[in-house]
Amino acid sequence: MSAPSLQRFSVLSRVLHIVVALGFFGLGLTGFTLYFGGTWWAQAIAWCLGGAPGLAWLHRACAIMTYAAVMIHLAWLAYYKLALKGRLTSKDGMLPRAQDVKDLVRHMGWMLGKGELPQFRRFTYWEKMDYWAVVIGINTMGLTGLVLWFPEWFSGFMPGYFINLALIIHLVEAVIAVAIKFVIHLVVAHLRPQVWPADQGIFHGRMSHERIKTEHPGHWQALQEGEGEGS
Amino acid sequence: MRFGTRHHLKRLNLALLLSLALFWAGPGWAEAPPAGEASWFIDMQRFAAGAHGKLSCAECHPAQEKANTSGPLAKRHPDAQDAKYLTASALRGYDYGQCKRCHRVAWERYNQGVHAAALKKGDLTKSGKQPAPVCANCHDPHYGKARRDRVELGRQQTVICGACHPAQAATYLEDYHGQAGDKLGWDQSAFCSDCHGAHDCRSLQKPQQAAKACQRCHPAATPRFAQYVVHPTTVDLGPEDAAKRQRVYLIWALGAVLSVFAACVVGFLYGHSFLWILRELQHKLRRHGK
Amino acid sequence: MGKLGFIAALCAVALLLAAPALASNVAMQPAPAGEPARTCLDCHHLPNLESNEGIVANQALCLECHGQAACTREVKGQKVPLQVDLKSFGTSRHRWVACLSCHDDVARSPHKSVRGAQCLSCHPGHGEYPLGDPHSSVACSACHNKSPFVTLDKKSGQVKLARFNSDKQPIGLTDHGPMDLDDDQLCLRCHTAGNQAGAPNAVLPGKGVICFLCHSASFSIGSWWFGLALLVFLVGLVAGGLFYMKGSVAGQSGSLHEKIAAGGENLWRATFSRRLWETLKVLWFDVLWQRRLLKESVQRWFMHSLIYLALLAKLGLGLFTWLIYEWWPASDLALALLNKNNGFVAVANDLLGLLILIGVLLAVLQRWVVKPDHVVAEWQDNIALILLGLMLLSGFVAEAARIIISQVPADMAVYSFVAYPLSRLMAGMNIDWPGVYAWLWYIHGLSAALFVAYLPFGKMRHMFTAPLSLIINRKLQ
Repeated sequence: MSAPSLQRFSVLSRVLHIVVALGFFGLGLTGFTLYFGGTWWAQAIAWCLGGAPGLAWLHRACAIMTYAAVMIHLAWLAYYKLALKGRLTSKDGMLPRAQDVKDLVRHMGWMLGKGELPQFRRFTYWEKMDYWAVVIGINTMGLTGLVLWFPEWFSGFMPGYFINLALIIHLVEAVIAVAIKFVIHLVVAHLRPQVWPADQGIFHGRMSHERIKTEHPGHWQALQEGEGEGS
Repeated sequence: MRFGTRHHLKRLNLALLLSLALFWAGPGWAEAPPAGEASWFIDMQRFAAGAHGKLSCAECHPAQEKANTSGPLAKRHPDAQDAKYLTASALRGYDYGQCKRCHRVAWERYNQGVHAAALKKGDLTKSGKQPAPVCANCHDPHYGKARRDRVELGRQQTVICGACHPAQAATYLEDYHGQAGDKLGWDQSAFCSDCHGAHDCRSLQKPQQAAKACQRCHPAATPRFAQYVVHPTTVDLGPEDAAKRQRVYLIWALGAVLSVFAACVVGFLYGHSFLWILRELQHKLRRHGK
Repeated sequence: MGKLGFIAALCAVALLLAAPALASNVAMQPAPAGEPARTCLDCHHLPNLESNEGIVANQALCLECHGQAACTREVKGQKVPLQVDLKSFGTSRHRWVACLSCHDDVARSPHKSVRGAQCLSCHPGHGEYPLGDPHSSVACSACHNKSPFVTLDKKSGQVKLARFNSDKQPIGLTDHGPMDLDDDQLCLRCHTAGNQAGAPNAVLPGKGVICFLCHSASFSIGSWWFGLALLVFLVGLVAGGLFYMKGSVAGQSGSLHEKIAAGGENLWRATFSRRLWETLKVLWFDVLWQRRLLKESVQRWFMHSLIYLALLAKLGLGLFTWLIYEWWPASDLALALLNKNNGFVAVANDLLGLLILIGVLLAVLQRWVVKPDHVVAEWQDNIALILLGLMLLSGFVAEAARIIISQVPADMAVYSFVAYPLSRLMAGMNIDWPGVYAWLWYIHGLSAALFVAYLPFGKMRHMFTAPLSLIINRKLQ
């Protein structure tokens, strides 16, 4: 990293990203192999992974891994807020703001050939969308997944057909998650022409000043004025 | 290094496209299955390999054999002069008392079950077409194999029971039990007869009865647990099944709402990304052009 | 085994020499005194239809009943003859084919057929010419049987032989001699006013080679005006080529012969050098994906791609279908691709057609309503756009009319997601669609023919010249 750069993701964030990515890949692979179990490719994958019981074990192992990663992240946030007295609500934080909606509208206008690119700050609206999709998605998937894992216990206090409802939510949310994470997130974060072939920032955690200037101009300006957050 | 990453990602792209194409099974409609096994002909090779391969014709068809050697054949056998004999089903006309000689337990359980009751009443199933099944509707008397394993038997149940109960077979295959058992061949999953019973074939409408079926694998199952809908379909539901009907509607409604939501979210994001890529490609092309 | 062979041989002899005598040979009676009784397996042994012995045995078994005049079936109180006429069968092409090879689901109890005769297990189906794809829902026997009475089975959407003639008299349909298909009147079984088969009132030409633009077709002319359009198209191409040759080619400005020789030499060298790679790159990026247009404007690329890529996809699908049919005419894939009601084909056709139509509408809006400075609306463009728009609109209306006329079942027709709703709308109008269909078809066919004939002359010429000039320009760099 000879070019001047700025810390963007902490070591913890980077490790958790890899864990979530691997866990999520495993979840998608095993889950959809079960769902499409009648097709030849799913049977080939199932054969490799030990049939239905193997898929079930791996699915749960990946789920625990992924969920744990998200929980560790939330625990870090709590520690950051309570013990380190950090701020979570700044303009450079991950919380959604009204400005993000305005950015989305302006960005789409730019795509259609009207107006300039918005002055993105540290985290753009699509990065926030990616982040919150995981936080919300993992909790819906986790909760409905627990119902499917321990149906006897849950039916102690809720009607049995809630298992059906949990199953549907689990399925549709899985389709959305795969469609977004395996396609949109990969394309937008790595494969789109401006970052092709890969954005390595999430692996080494840094972003060059050059890129901040062009892709996060609002952030660069804030940094120059001494009010932006570096890491 | 950089070159390597690039190639890797290209291949990943291809894999993604391929898997998307595979997920889409493509529309189509099932064709009518070929005619059943009530053929006039016996394939001796298959017969000899079957469970009854060591029996002679006369051991199961004594009347025909007797009529053939003494008395007029036409009395016991299809006759060109009697058109009705040809249109009648030999499968249904057979004297299944012959089966009882060796399969007494199955015979008794069948007679306690719903299929025998429907047969006695003489009524047809709700489709109004197919009469209640007799032995040979489900069991192939000439070619049926002995000592099949649990998964093979279970898969055959989905096909055979599903011939008259297609909606139930389809919903079973969408259910975890069907996915793990029938599709992926896990022998510890539940197949048709594991819940509904072999030969007596209960419909499990009563919660207590259903809970007992669940308890065979889920010891902690309660009647409330048994409210789980394995077959979310309204086909064959009577007026006494109002509660299940409502649950099925609830399940369908949630599925429809969530599907529309998913289509909107994913559709918007795909359009958004597509447009974005077009615009960035254009910028890149212009930069290179200069 | 000797006994079985003996019986088979007896049957064969009986069939060969004394076919009429079979009718009086009363079957299914106990063997006459003195001869051994039949055992179960004399009749119930599965015949091997791959062997001549099995074929003869099988024919003998069926003819025990179906050779007799008394063999009838009662339909609606009337006796339908089920006798196979041994005279005509004896001279039929199917004389040495086992009954069960075609009627493969009848030998069972109860004695009935669900699928009918399986002609396609031996004979490949028809391709696009001279019949056209709507005939994929017509049973073979509807045309190839001598009985002229046909009807539409609404349950399956299939056109089949009628069991009763126009006087409500039952028809015996066991005639195994095929119909003489040279008779032009054959098509009029269905294609007349007031027909019961769900067919348009007129006999329309099959698809010629120019139809490949959007459909699967055949390498035939189709009809004279298709041929004329093709001729104009080819003349236009040659004239364009000659005009291009007027300048100097590869430095040669002598005779046409020298120019062609020099151009060929250049092509040869380009093909066997690293420049081939360059050319392929140009073809891939600039021709297929229109990189230069995207560089100009995202909007223009989008509009152009809607028309161009969708047309290209339709062309590709049509050629693919033709290829599959030529190589494996009897395959399920060929049958599925040729069938317009097939889910995939219907969705693909409607989707691609819709994309082209949207592209044309956007172009029309751009030229006639928005009129930005850089767009010059030339009359040449307008002709091409009007023809293209007319072709697509009439195509969708004709498809909807076809769905109405042939009464495609709703669960099949919904895959035509544009034409099916349109057909429900149109069905409400009080219009004689079987009569109007021919007009719709001719509007569609003529606008397509005009479009193709116009290609080398109007601005649409760029689809040939643009790739050429791109490649040549790249070479000159």
